Amino acid sequence: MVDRQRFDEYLCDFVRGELTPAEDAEMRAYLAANPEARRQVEEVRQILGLAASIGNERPPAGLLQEARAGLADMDLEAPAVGPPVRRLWRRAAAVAAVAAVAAVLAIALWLGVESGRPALAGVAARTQALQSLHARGWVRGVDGEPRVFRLWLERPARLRAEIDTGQRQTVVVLEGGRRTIRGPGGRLYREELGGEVRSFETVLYRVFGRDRQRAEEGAYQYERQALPGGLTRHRVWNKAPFTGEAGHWRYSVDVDEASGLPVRLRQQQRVGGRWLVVSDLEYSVFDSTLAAVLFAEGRAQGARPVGDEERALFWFERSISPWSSMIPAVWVPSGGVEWNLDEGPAAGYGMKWGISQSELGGVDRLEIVGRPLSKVVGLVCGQPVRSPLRQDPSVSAVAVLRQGLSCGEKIAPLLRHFGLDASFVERTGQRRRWLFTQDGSVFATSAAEYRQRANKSQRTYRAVQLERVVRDLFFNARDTGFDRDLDRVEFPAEAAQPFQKLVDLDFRGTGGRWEQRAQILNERFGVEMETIAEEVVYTEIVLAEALGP
Amino acid sequence: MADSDEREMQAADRYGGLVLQLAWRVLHDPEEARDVYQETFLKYFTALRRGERITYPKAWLSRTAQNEAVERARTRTRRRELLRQKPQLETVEIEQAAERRLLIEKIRQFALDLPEQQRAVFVLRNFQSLPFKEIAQIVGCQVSTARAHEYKAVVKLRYWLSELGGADG
Repeated sequence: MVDRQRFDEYLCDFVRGELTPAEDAEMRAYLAANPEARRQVEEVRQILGLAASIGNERPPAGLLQEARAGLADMDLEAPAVGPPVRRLWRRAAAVAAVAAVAAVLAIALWLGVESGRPALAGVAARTQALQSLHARGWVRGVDGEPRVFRLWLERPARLRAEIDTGQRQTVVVLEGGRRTIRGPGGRLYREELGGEVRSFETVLYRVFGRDRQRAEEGAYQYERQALPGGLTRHRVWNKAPFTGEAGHWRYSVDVDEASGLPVRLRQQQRVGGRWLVVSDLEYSVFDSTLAAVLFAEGRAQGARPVGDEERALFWFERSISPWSSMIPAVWVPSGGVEWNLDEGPAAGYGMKWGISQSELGGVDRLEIVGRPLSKVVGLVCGQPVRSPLRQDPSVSAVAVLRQGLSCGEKIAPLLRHFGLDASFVERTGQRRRWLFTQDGSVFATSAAEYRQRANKSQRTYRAVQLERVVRDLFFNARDTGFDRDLDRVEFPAEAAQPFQKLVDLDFRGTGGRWEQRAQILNERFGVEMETIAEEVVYTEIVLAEALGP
Repeated sequence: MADSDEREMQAADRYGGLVLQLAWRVLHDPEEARDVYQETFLKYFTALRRGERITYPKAWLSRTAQNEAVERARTRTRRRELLRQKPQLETVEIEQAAERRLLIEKIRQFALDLPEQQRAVFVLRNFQSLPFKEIAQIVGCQVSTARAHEYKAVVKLRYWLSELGGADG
């Protein structure tokens, strides 16, 4: 017997003709006596009929193959040719009037310079004409986990990024020198970027200059390849690594030849001898009418400051910026240690010689050009090194090292490459601690958001953290006698420490004399310094030729 | 290609059609559907590599694809609402569509606004034609509860359409 409750339960199946004959008969009997129920059946029939039309829809022919091919591209051996990329720019070109994101622009500019091909030079020119840019796809974190990633960038440097790890969704908005993060539960956090913010043009110049130098030094390899659908794939990779084969990273940019604009950027990194896709992003412009919503978080009230806990929680979100040279820069360690050594004396990486250090999410990355092995080992381990070798080999390499590993673990592949061993010897020595304090004064800063360095003896700091100013002046002084192996520079440890405040300073040369620099810091910012000498036991690394294979 | 990779791609071959169809029926957009397909399998592979035990891949993939597609469709809807403020943007095609086509799009759109379980049951039953037994497994409820969810979903859709003058003509 069908009652009201049973009628509701049976209704949809009745309309679809999926009831048993007995149930169907019961329903018909109920309907015969209930005109309102009959009307309801007709309405539901219409709705389910419409829904069934959706259920009969089939995806376009070939879409499954395309999606499947794209999937195979994502995480497996690097494919030679990916699937055709849709032409997002074609429709967008009519709208486009505008700026660019440093990542794509950097690549495009560099490609133009390196190859000398007119088509590539055009990519740079056209990208510069853009005002807005939208990237969507996914990126892989150092934990190996993919994150669904969307990014909107608008001139001069307004950015929104959405990151979805599956467990956590966050939104990052950068606007007006402030980074706002909407974390789990919708809670808002803010972070003043102060001196870290550079003008868009400065960033472009910096990236452009650096990549041009790399290209001129021949540190990269390049090839291009025609894809179906009027696309050209430009592939770039670093060369002459430890294995003598391909380098440890490569990326490809698919360019729509009709519009001359990039549509897809895919980065890969070699991890444990295997190529791993670390990001795959497609690009288009976005409609500026969305800006009010997209960047709303940046103007939201009530955001709380990012504290230590949030710094750890949002390390990935905080690494996203318009001036990341490869947005988003993600490094994947394999077993925690990856050394990619170039055989040449000065391979590039944007430097004639030197070591560039960066950190992201518990991983240190070093780019080393033409530095003595003992210096490299000392830097990696943070310990003094003695090298009784007749010749200290020159190292050019990129290293990716997980923090927290022992010194021995980090340098083992490097030493093996040069046929060396290391022993660790305990010694006693004198160490100096340079303790800086400040009297608590605060200072008005200029609204300017850049820092300019004319030359070594003439610097202009605008809204730069006091600690950075002190460090900059201290470590560039000639007469401190600072022993980088043993000595320490220390600032107050408390959370609201005075050296985090922003300051302006027009510094003019003092001949590299620390005493005069210290006087300026004292008079302008109330900075005091004390030096404490103490006896310490430390470990020295001693390098030697390896015995046997 | 490693063995694990091959196994994963076999899963993509076996259930790929199902995932793509579901994405297509919710989104009706080849690019978005392709993205849902890829993101669904990416999450699936990641879960496997994390050592997660997935007893019913079909159920897991259906649920994930449905959530992913709905989330994308909702984002798109929000954008379209904004875009409607400008008459030249993307509304012309809809306005010129036939009445039935318009109603179908309304059903597709309104289905996204249903409560989670009702939406899941409605989409899987009507867009994917899955039997209630399988739907109950995916959603994690009794078969009778799944039926009740569908009924409630239909009642809501009927009300929303009538508010727009859709279902009543």
